[in-house]
Amino acid sequence: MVQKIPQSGISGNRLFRNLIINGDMAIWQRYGGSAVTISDGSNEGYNSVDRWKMSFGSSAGGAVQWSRSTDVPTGEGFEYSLKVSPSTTANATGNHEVAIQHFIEAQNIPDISYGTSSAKKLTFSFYFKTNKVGLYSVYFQHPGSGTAKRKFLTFTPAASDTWERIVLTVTGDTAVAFPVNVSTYGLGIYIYLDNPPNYDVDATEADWQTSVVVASENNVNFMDNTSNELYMTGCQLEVSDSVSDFEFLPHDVQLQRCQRYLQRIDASGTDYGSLGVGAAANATSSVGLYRLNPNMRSVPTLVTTGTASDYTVFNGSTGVDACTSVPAINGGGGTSNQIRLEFISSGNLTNGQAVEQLGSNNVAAYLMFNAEL
Amino acid sequence: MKIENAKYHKDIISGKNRVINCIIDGQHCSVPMADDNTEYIEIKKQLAAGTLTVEASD
Repeated sequence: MVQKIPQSGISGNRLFRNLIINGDMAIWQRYGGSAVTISDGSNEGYNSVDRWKMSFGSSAGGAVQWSRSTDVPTGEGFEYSLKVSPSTTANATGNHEVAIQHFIEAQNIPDISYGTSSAKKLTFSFYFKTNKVGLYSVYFQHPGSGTAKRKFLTFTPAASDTWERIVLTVTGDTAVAFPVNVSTYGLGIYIYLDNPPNYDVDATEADWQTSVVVASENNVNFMDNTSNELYMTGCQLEVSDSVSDFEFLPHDVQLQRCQRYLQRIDASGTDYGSLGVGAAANATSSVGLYRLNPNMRSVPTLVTTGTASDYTVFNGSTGVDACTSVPAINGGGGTSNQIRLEFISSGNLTNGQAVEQLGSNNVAAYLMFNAEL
Repeated sequence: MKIENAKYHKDIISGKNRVINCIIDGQHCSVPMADDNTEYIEIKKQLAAGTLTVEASD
């Protein structure tokens, strides 16, 4: 006999219980899995695996290489990990911060109930491997009601070059809430790779606080040698005081979740690969409407290759017209699901003429729409 | 966020400044002047702090 169990009677019945998007490092829209060197003050930010960010706070200096690795914990089902290695060393002084970051949109975590006596515990787990063994600090930050609050925890890998699952449980902040029905960040996770002396304390853990205390004074300096390397995958944050198996999502679901924050249109790289269609507004300017699917978190920023000659415009009368500047957003009518782009070319268009907006011959040009937190 | 070569860009229909084209952390970007856009929020911060200037549109 089949007995029906109400949803309320099932423990851990939260769908999408992993609050981290792309925790298994499966989606790499920006540059595939290619290694990217991320340098202080040059290209820090979101530049590699989807949803993960590298920062060098307060001109910390140094550079790291991020790349996709197939070195993963055996038998756990992961295909890739994120590999991070310093390519230029740095030694923190003052408030220099070097950290791997992940931000969670506030409206995805309305149920953690911060600012109430029911504030939920969160458990952050991840698979980690490094040849730089020492004490690492992870701090959590929420925006509060205008002043951010932070709390850090620490972990020490048990052995060099060995995969292990790190589990950290974060007590809820019962004192201060943050807006939850908004598309700005609700929670940030920072994995520290250096030891900013202005921001560390002689403690392994501190409670939620508004002061900028982000790491233990004993934090390892991962940035001190270019032979250091770390690998991460299977990152999960769940509303629970205990850890559960990593929640794998279907690839299409995971990709679509990432596309809320980044979408990329690629020209094929063969012949003149298409990016979109539009119409000529005058002899040099053509505009095209680009639909964004799924809806993005915000009206996005357009990121291009930075090279005007990577882009062209085709019309049926005079053929291909080379662009003289990189494509740009044109107009204030852009939203989270559509945006108008302008391609400016050398002057062979006729008003009202239909055009195709393209990459140049055999150039794998792209348009990236960025709505990251 | 390092922002360089910032310049307003006009809407082709209204003629009003609606976008800021610039280089952000080494990437060529076109930033809509939308209050929920992360890069525009940062541009406004840097403008308020006097650490960024944005060139007038053509």
